[in-house]
Amino acid sequence: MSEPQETAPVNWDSTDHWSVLAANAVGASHQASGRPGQDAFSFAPSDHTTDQPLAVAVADGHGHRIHFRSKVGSRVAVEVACDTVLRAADALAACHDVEEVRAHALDVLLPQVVEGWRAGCLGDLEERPVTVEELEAVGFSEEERAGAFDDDDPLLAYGSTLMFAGLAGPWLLLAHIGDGDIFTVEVDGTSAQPVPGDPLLDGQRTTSLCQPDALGSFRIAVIDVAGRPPAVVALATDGYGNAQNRDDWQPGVGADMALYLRSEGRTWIGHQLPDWVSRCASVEGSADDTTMALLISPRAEQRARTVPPSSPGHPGSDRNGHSSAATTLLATPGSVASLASARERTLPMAPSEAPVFPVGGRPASPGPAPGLAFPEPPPAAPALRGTQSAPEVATGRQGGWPANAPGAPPPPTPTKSARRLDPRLRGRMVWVAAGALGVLVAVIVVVIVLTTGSSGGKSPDLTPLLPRSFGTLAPGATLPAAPKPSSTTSPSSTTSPSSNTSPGTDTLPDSGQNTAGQAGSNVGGVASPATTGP
Amino acid sequence: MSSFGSSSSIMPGGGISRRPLDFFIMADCSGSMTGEKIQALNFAIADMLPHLAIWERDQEQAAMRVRAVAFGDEAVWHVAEPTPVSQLRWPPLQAKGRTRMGRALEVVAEAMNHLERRALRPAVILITDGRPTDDFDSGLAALLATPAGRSALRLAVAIGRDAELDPLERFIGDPSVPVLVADSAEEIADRLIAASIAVSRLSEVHVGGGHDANAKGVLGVRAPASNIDDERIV
Repeated sequence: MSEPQETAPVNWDSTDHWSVLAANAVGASHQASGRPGQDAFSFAPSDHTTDQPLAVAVADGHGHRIHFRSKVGSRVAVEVACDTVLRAADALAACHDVEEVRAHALDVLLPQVVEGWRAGCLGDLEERPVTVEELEAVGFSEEERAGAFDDDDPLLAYGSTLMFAGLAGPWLLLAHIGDGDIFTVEVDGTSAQPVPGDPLLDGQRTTSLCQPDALGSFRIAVIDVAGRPPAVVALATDGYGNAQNRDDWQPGVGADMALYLRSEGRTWIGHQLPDWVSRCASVEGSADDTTMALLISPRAEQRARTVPPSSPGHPGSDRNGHSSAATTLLATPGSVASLASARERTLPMAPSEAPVFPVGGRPASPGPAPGLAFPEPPPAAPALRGTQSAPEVATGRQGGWPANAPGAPPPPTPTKSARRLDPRLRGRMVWVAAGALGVLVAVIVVVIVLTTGSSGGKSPDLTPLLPRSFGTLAPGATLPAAPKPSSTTSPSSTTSPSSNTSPGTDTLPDSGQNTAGQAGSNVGGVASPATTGP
Repeated sequence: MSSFGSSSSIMPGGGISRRPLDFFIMADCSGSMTGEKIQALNFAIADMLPHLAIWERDQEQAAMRVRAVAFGDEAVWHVAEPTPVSQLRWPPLQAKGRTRMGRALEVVAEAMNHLERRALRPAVILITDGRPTDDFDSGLAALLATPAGRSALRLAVAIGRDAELDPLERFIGDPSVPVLVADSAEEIADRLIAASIAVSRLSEVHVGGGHDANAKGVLGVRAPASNIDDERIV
């Protein structure tokens, strides 16, 4: 696996504006099979001030071979989404309430996105007609090619999910079709999923821009960010969530992000993000293409330092740890969900994941953490308009400049000491020390009690703490010992029916290419961005 | 060693890991399996596990976890906890009683409702030498009522010619996937190895193929080609 590449340094000296951080990586499974990355992201800041619109989009092209041009489909999706949001920004900003924003999004903006995507893909199809060689390359047999797409929409080949965020005036519009995750993080670390879920997404199937009724499968949310915007708005393809250990991973990730913001700041997060997505895309994670884009709100760091980290039941949050700071309207085409139902979907903060104390010894003043040697920020560059496809990274500040802008100094490489600066670890050290002190006191008390002869309790039963055993052979069992893999089998035998199956064996479909020996394939790293100009 | 393997590396949340691939073994422990058959089945399963462990080690996407249900007079968990295939030492089965196959399907169906959200398409293998003595259809309906059970790769091994193939074929639900018939106890191991190969394909990837575990079907869209993988395109 290759070393993760850091993001290029960006002019993060001011935290007064909305910032964009984004990175992606090609999945290990794609690399092993020689397939391209099919994720894409794009963002379109247009000015230096917070009053200007901002659009960020992330898309995940489908992996099945029938979507053999999904890499193009995802790229078209993010570009169309950003362009459409910026075109609609004035109209969105002029809306008087969230209901008006919702109506405009459903009636005007989303139809334009869907139509724009179809037009863009049809344009690609016209420019590059599908060839026999292309179908052969993705594994279609001659028989399959003969009538493969006779009755199907040609845009099936371009299938992709799409999620995007549009900031216009006081409104933040979030829209989503397909799998992946959009979640918000408040300054106290609570997280929420403002966009309603879709029960049709069962992990095996997804909604898509290529389906005939794509417009009907969009889900949206509108957030009033004029008052207290969420600290972070995250958009991530399913490669990120599928790599996480826990099903309810968002509260933990959100709490940690708030902690990082509080203690390290957005520049530090920007440098870490490529590593995060690369790890998720690796064989240690989902092995799938992974993209994450983060919108960080103005003065999020300062605001985070003024509030204590949240825990379940924290004032300002409901019982699920959901902050009520932002006004949110949830909507799906044809139906409007209530805020109450959204809160019910909000997963509770896991106590073990929630930071309970500010980072010990960390000065409250903003700026780089001790041990982090960030270079002086370069001067601001002209307006930014970037589009990325995997594997790429980019960072941008609204009105800022692309991560690889000409003249930008090389990215700082975190030192070992920087890697040791995990704020969670530092915070927990305080508690470890406190815990050790508590144990010491308890031992002293027990010794005193025992020596005074006042303890009549039984010894604790440690049985539940013993490791659970599996597969213990029953006494006297006649089961032969399992053959040692090295002596009785080979890696190839696990994928070659003929090697272990007697003649006349019932056959199963051919196993295809053996992937033995491909474990540990590199993610391929996250290349420095090739951010395109306007 | 991977540069990402260090636990000291900073990352938000509770850590990452490979996606789980849940493999359910449903083993017939009815009275007719007594003697040579049950011993051969125990041997065959124990022989299959190292093959799967090697496969797991050598592929990129899945962490296989095994559970087993034994069904005779009752259907009970034989390996109750999802156990990494490389760590499982097969506890021998004991044969006794009737063939409550339908109830076993219900037990697996209940477990299917609690798989991790990120879990890969699961696999279920049903091994029997007879015919169900309870309500098989009800059990199968329960399994197929769960999204994971419906999308699971379902395989069946019939031990001997007395095994009734019709319920096994309905359990598989795909005419292109045959019931694996072991005419003798000696052939049980071969059939299970063949089945394990099919299971390992669940997360196999190859150029241009559709066997990418991360590949999904699109709702409302049917794939033009027909194979196991395309079951997901509905």
